[in-house]
Amino acid sequence: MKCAVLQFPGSNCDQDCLHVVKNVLGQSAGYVWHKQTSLGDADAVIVPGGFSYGDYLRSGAIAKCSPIMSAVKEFADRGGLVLGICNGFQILTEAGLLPGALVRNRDLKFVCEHVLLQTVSRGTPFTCAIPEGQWMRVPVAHGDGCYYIDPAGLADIESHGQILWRYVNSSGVADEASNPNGSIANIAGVCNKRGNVAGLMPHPERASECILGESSGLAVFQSMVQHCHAPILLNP
Amino acid sequence: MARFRSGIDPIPIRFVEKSELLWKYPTIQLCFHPARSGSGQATYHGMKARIIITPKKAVFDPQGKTVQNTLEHFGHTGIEAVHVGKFLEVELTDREDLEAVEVRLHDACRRFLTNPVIEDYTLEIIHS
Repeated sequence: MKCAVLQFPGSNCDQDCLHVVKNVLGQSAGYVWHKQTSLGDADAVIVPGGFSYGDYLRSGAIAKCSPIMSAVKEFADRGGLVLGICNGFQILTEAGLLPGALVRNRDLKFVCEHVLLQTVSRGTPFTCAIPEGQWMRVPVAHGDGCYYIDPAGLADIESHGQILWRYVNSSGVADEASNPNGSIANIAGVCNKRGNVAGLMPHPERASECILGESSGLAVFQSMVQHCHAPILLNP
Repeated sequence: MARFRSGIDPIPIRFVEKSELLWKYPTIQLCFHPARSGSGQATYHGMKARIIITPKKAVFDPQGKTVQNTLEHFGHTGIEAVHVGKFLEVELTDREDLEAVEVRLHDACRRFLTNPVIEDYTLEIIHS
């Protein structure tokens, strides 16, 4: 897998993402500056976390207008893999590549803690390598991570299997206490209808090595690699 | 600067000169008469667009709720809701056709200045 890790002014998780793909998984990876207009021969794109443009106006609102995003949209239209993490998720929703929006956390506090994620849909390039029944313990760090979508949109993404991860407690129940930010239906991550673009607020790249205390997040990136070698049939 | 009946002056708010105090829409109070602003702003002789952005009613507004709780803590009653939004003022350099300007600005609002999934907006063009 050749992975392009985007960099915007204010991105701060780009190095972690590249490290996981390149050094932990041994894949090819490189940075792509937001002003570039081409993704080269990348098989996958990661839009990393951070505070692009200082979260000015809205998180991800200005980054979505960067020159590279035209190439990302074309890449996604062709079926290329795009993963947005935290601010990357915000950028992808702002760009219209993912449904819904991210708003201020319910309790108005910046949350910095570990969460448990239940994988809801395993038939995507981002979840196919996550063992069934295995929850991921992944850190979150955000102030605007509350996922919102209107009722019709929620019904739509539920019916099309677009909800990829939910916040759950240690018993696997998606209750209010396990929801760090007030997201509707405890949604932590979603994908588009086709299944090739995904986003999540938690940081799997910070839970991909045992030395950091958690490694269950690596399965997200392993899924992408697996898809590149043995593609899952995407939705039309 | 306005003072509430309690005698406390918690937040600087400018009154709309032609409207009563609207507890529900504090951001509208930013549409003040320039001559009474007292803000020391430089005189501007072009067109201005004033855009008020508020969260959609269906979206939970924790900031608005917190502000409401704090106002009630200070003893203010009769507040149905508070919505915290944004105010943008766009100074336009060219005296173009008003209709064309409005079309462009509405497009900018829908594509960039607001997120239509979670925000509503109002747009007003002011001639100086």
